Parts: sequence; C-alpha cells; structure tokens
Amino acid sequence: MSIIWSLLLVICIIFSCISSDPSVVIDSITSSSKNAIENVLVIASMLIFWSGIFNILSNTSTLSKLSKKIYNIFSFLFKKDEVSEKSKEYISLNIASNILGVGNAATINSLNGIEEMQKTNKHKEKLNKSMAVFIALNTASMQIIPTSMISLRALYNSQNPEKIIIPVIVISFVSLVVSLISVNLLWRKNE
Amino acid sequence: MSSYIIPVFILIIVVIALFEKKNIYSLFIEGVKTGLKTVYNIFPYIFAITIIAGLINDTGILNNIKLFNIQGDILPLMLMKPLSGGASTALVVDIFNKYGPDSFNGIFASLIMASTETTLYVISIMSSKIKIKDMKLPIICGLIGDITAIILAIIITKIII
Repeated sequence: MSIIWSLLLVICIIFSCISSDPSVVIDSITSSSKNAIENVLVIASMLIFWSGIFNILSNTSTLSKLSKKIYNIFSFLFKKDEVSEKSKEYISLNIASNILGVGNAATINSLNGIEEMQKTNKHKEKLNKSMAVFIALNTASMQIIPTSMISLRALYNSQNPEKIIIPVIVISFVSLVVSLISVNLLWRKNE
Repeated sequence: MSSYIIPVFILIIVVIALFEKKNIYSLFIEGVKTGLKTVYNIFPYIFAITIIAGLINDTGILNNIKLFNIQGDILPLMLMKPLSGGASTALVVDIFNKYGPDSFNGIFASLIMASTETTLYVISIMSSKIKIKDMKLPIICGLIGDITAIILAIIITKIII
C-alpha cells in the first residue's frame, strides 16, 4: 500500500509540473482534503449507526445459531483453527450484508471480523490464510442486485436500466472465484 | 422492492432482541461507542486515499494514457474504481452525459461499477484494524479479480449491445 500510494503521489506531482499548471497540485489537495472530511462524515454516520444495530444483534443467541448456518456454507474457504466462534458471526454477517448490498453494514462487520481473526492469528505480524480469504471476499463484489447502479442508469434515461443485472451477477461471481483461486495458488507458493 | 431490505432488516434485529429480552438501548449505545472508535481509526486511511484520488482526477493524468484503443473516458474509470467509489461514480456520470447509459461506454461503465469493489480502499481500511504491513497478497489477488471483471465486462458488453 505504501509503495502504491507514494508512487501515485510522485507521478501526479511530476506530471502536473511538466504538463500543466503546478498550482493544480495544491488546489487539488485543498479540495480533496475538504472532500475527505465530508466523505468521512457521511461514511461515519452510517457506520456508527450500523455498529450500534449489529451490537444488538451480536448479543442475541438467534444470531449465533443463524451465523453457524450461513458460515457452514462458506466454511470450506476458511481454516478451522484460524476462525473463532466470534469471528464466524462477523464473517457471516459480513457476507450477508454484502449480498444484500448494505455497504456500510458490510464494512463494520469486515472491520470487526478481521480484528477478531487477528486475535487468534499465531504470527501477529503476518496474515494467515483465512484472513487473506476474508479480505478477498470483501474486495470482490457480492451484491446480487446492483440497486444504486440501476437507479443511476434510470436517472440518466436508460431504455433498460435493469439490463445489467444478469451480466453483473456473472461478472461478479467469476471475478470472485478467480480472486479466491489466486489467493489459494499464491498462498501455496508462499509456504 | 429493494427499498424494503434495510427497514425490514433493522426491524427483524430489534424484534429478535425484544424476544430474547435484551437491553436494546444500552447495547445500541455500546455499539455506537465502538463505531466511533472505528471511525477514528480508519479516518487517516480514507483521508490518504481521497487525496490521491483527487490528485489523479484533477491533474488529468489518466486522460493522457491510451491503452488497447479503449476510448479515453473508460480507462480513468478502470483505474479509479479500485481507489474510490465517490470519484468513480463521478466519472460514470460524465460518461452517461457524454455517450448515454445504453451506449457501449455506458453499459461497460455500469458493469465495471456494479461488479467490482473499491479494492485498494477496502484493503487499506481493513489493514488499519490489524497492524500488519505486508498486504501484497490481498492487493495482488484483489486486482487479479478486478482485471478478470474488466475483461469479462468488455466481452459481455460487446455481446449484449
């Protein structure tokens, strides 16, 4: 992450110094800093709300029963000794909210889940395989019906806003499978 | 239909907790507290990513790269989507305005937006919770997934248009 970030920063600054007006850089940083604060306020408000709601849910016994069922479907992806009971709950909540397309709920559960998995991680300075799989699940899109994209298309007078549903399901599924396979392959190579 | 998902979801949670006679209010407050801490911890990461996404957009650097004959507006979107949802939505709106949502570019942009995630953003906020620096493997695998999605999206757009 550090390499990507600094590389992009260097490229952008050099590029604007050569080709356009260097003052773009500071203008851009000023306005994006403002944007960042606004973004965080928007994200934060919903994240905090869902954090509260899920804290209610995670204290119920219904959840632990339900999450076992959901987790069992996906359990083949994870290693048994790397996932505690508590992390199973977060993993299944994360998957469920990703599929339903409730982004902020998915985010809070991904953060709680990875934190919980770190607790049972034997080498604290390295990811274990289950954590890598969990991150891969979150970097791929699992939303079944792309509601926000459909409404954006409708807003711009598309003849058929729903046309994208089936292609999106196919593409998301294939790319999810491909990234999970690559986690497995690269993991074996590392070991 | 989809507008029911969230309200019903919240309703179910509260009803379950009522049945189990939990102290809903204090559990909610407790969750809000941890939520606040989470926001505090991920803020620097969101800030760093937004600055970079802004710089890429404002310096117009992506408009000068041409690859595989892809029309100029699509490439910035492909490179921006892993970084920022907000900035890439803005790019999609530009594409819709220019070409319309049912054009090749419009459909392709819709597919990319809806079937990939903000990979680098997700990895950076998830890594904020665990103090692990080496994120090479998830970044590579996430981007492999994104590239797969882009290739498939090109093929499918050509078929359905």
